[in-house]
Amino acid sequence: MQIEIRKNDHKIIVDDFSASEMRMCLEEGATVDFYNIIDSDNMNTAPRSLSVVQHKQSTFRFHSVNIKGGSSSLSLSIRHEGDGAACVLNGCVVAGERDRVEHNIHIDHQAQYCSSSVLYKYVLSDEAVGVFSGRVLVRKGAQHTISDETNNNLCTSRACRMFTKPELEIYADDVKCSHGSTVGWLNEQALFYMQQRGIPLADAKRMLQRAFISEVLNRIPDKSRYAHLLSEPV
Amino acid sequence: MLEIKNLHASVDGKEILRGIDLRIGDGEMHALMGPNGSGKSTLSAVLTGNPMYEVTEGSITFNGKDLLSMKPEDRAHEGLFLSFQYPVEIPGVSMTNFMRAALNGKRRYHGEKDLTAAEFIRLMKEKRTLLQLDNKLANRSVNEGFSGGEKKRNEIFQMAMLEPKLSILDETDSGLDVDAMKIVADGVNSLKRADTSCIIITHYQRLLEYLQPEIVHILYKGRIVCTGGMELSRRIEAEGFDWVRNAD
Ligand SMILES: Nc1ncnc2c1ncn2[C@@H]1O[C@H](COP(=O)(O)OP(=O)(O)OP(=O)(O)O)[C@@H](O)[C@H]1O
Ligand SMILES: [Mg+2]
Repeated sequence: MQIEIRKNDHKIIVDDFSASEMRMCLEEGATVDFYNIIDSDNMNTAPRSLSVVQHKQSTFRFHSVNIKGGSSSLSLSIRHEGDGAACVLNGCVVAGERDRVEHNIHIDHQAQYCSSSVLYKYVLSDEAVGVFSGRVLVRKGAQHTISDETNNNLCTSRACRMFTKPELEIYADDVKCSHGSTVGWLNEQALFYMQQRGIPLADAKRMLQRAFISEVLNRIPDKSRYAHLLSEPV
Repeated sequence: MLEIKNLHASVDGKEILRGIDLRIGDGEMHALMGPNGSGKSTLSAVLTGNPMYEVTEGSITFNGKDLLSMKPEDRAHEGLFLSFQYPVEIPGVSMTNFMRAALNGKRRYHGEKDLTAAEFIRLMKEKRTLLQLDNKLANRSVNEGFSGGEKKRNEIFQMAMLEPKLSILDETDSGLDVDAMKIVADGVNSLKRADTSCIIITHYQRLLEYLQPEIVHILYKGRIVCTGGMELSRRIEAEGFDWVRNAD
């Protein structure tokens, strides 16, 4: 599937999960909000890919929400060909049982004054497996690139596993880039504090998980796209 | 209300509480004092069921029920409340959601229906006024970025919301300015009923003068070594704990 976004157009695209391979080209000044919202109706566990080419001053925003469980695998590759292109990638995953959720991200900064901002958060329980790999490449000519990449993860069981690999490769000398990942546990003190106030342990855990992913959810402009997946109102 | 018999508890294999006996009747207010590290907060933690602490011996009965066999949340539902010495910050969980979950947790335990949104808001407002707590604090994440004194006042606000039978105030007075201390003391006094009890853990006389506990205990090295009236707390204020150590 090939999608062209015309000059200065703003398109909202809602992934219907039918295509296994998608290509997209954003012409000058174009903006795309791409919603990749997984619920039980559109589950597709086969590996899928999305390649995006961005021209001058275009903006690509990607919103991935997979919080009801279920496996998925997506490779997202973004190339900034034109100066001033920007991309924002938001992902949150809540996986349990034997789910396996994989996100492979590749951002190729080839032009000047471009930016990329990546925030992915995973909450894993049971025997779930999470994979995040994010490679940001800043080529020699890509001066004044601003890039941040963050992957924070929460493990709530002994048997779950998280593989995280944020990578940054820089060949330009005037850039502002950061990357990092964390893997942590639920805050035991917070859980006890909540229980002491009478919040049942399972509810307390759910509230802390929700708090953990809320930073990602808050970055997604249209809340109605994922609101139905949440147990409590936004 | 509460009966503790020969309670021993340890953390990481180290014994902290070494045989505590304590009875608290309905409507009674007790002060618990003792030097740093004597085990006051450990006793609060064991009473409320903190999983970090292991009870190795003894029993606790709370209004006729075996407290030690109950989950921490059920102890809360039965009316046990701890104002933490160090209240915990919970980023991303609003005070409102937190309080609603706590109240409804208790109501469900007792077979009652959840509060309606209107009832809940009215209750929040009423109790906030009692503690003179800013509306802005109620909209923020639990304790996140609160000042030391605001955290302590927020603990008593939660106590007012939950109306517990037995409240343990673990150094709620430390970090409070003179005015805030009075607000907190007035709050605690106004929540007093004939069937509610209180354990006040403190190092200072000021809060006790406001609350006038009938009974004062001194905890030393994991044991209650002395029980009396307010003359004990006055003596500690004047002389410190040397006389307790020397008697040991
Ligand atoms: N989680 C823990 N891990 C290790 N040691 C602990 C833990 N909790 C308490 N202790 C130890 O147990 C002893 C009693 O501590 P506790 O906090 O109960 O004292 P306290 O009487 O409340 O003191 P303070 O007046 O300073 O608050 C101390 O020696 C302390 O270091
Ligand atoms: Mg203490």
